[in-house]
Amino acid sequence: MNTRIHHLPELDPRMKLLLVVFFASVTFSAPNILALIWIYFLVIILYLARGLWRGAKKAGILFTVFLLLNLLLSFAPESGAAAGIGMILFMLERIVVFFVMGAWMGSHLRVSDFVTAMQNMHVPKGGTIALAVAFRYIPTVQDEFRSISNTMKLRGIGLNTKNILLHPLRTCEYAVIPLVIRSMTIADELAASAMTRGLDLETKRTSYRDVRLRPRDFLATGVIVIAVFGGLAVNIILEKGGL
Amino acid sequence: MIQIEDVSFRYSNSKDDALEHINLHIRQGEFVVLVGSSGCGKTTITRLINRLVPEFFEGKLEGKVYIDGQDTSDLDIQDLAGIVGSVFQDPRSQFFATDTTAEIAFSCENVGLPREELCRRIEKAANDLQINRLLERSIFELSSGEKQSVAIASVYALSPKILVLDEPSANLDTSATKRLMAILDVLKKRGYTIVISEHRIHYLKDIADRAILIEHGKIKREISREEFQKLSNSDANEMGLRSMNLLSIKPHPFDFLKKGNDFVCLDRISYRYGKNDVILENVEISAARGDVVGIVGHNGVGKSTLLEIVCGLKKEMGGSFLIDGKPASPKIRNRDTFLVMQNSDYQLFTESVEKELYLGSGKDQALRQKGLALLEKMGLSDYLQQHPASLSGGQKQRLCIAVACMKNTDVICFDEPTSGLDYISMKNVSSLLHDLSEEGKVLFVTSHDYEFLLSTCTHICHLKLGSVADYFEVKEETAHQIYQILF
Repeated sequence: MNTRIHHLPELDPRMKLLLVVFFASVTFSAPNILALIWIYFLVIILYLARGLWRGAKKAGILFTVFLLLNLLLSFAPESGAAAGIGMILFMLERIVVFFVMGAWMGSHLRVSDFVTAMQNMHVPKGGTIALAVAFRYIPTVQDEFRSISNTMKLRGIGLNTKNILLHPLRTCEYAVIPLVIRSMTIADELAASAMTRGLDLETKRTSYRDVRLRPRDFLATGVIVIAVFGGLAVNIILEKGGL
Repeated sequence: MIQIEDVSFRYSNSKDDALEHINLHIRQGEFVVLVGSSGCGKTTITRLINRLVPEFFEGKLEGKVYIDGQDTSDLDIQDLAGIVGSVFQDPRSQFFATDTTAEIAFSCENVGLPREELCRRIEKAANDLQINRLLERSIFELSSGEKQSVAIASVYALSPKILVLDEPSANLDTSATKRLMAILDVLKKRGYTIVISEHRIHYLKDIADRAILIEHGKIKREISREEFQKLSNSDANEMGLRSMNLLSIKPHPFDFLKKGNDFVCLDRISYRYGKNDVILENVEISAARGDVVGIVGHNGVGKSTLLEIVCGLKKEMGGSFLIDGKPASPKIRNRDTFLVMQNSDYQLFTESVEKELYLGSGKDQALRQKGLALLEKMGLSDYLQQHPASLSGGQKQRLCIAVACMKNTDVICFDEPTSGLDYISMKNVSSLLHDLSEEGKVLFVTSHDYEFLLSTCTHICHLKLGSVADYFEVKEETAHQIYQILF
């Protein structure tokens, strides 16, 4: 009951956002599977560094699935279909990094600090609020989704292998529609509550926590960026050497 | 403090006026309760005061609203933030921060108070409302009642002059409602002007200065403090309100003589989270066809977990589960039971009421007949082609019950079916459950709604510390026992 929140020295929200954008873009320029594995590895390290064990586990499983699919595909005989699937896989296994990093930023994000940080960067308030609501909503979605998948089970349209293989589109639709409808209601209520509490006032916002960039924010971010580029460089050298 | 002068309002997506020629003056320091059945317009009046109407919920507004002497048509919602504090029905969807302290600071941060002042305000709010123990907690581990306290603290920290609450007790259990009442009492003593819309009025009996009865968007009647305190149950019920004097409610007369064999048996069912966190231990329940079992107990005692086990959504870790004398695995229970959740939004998947009904089952002639008859009974025949999302909350819930009946299961579970329902809707749910019981189904219902439990259930199962502390029939003699469990 009385578990207090741990105040680990957290990275500044601006640096987190920078890392999300950085990882998402650098993944798309990852030349080969080895580079991708390196990026996956660093993402998991980032999760672990913040003590998000569960998130790290989930990300790990997701990444492993993608890598296994890749491996599987390499055994498939060369054909148009295989090439097509390969192409889709190529896109997916890169896009996923963006979402996983988004979730990394979103978990335990202090939304009010985020809004303050964005204000200090002179980002227009409309955009900030939209982003803040989106991040605030991520943890709720998991709860909502559990209720939905429970009902699907009881109605015989559960998210099991049989239904996903036989009716992939329909099953997907059933899972998504209640989520969308529910999200619209929640977003509306959240926005109404935020407005009555003056979220879009023009006055400069203050924050009861100290939100500013410290040297250690730059240092930590720098180390991660160097690690990514370093890994990619080694990868390229190895490849050249291999030729 | 608040002057509403001849206000009429129509929401832009509606054909009817939500409010018609409302005149209402509320003095400083007054505690006013807006009462009336669902959809009568009481929520719209609260929205006039914080200006969500017409700025956020758009529509056609006539007449004038003055708050603290200012004409609100010259103001924005956010200009009123320092004057009017608003608390809403669902504590889940009004939190912006993910930890309690940041949430309490939120309004103050927005108006730009300096940091020292902020910290002082947070401390004061926590002290005055006695929620110090809730500071620095993650909001995801709070109960609904605790969340509602934090929501009030958040608007209190900015020290507005007026507090507007829209059905704040709808998602609270009885002990949380008591705490809410204590907080409101503090606020009233500090001279706040408080406007609250409610149809559960028993907890406001001693605190309200005046009640305003709203019917079809008009002020039907003003009820003085004395009249309000003397309001009888039948008067209240007639106005669409929940009973005022809970102790004088009589239980529904059931015929206990025709008791059949046990149909559902839970034999020493246990459930744990992780290794040591015991939720349920050796739970034993036997219910015959026609039994309506009300599951009561404090928040977090495992009521919802028990329902999920009954439906096979969670697998018991010990004990056995029998339906009609045969062991029923979770998979069989998935097939042979249904759970009607508190929020129906999760349970509706298709684009029309008709398709919803036949989803997951075939569509032969006999089923069609059955489906149409069910919709007729639920009062949904006119909505056959409508999108489920466009139905009202009560209609969605009835559609879910119809879906449960289509599935032809003998066991149906209901999770808090009456939270936020006014008297008439509550009675409707109750009589639907009676019908199902008469068809020979076994129903499990979690609830902390005393009035509903008395008028609906045949048995009460009291969960305490993960096991069944009491299991008894609902009769006049046992009504008091139920009251004591809940209050």
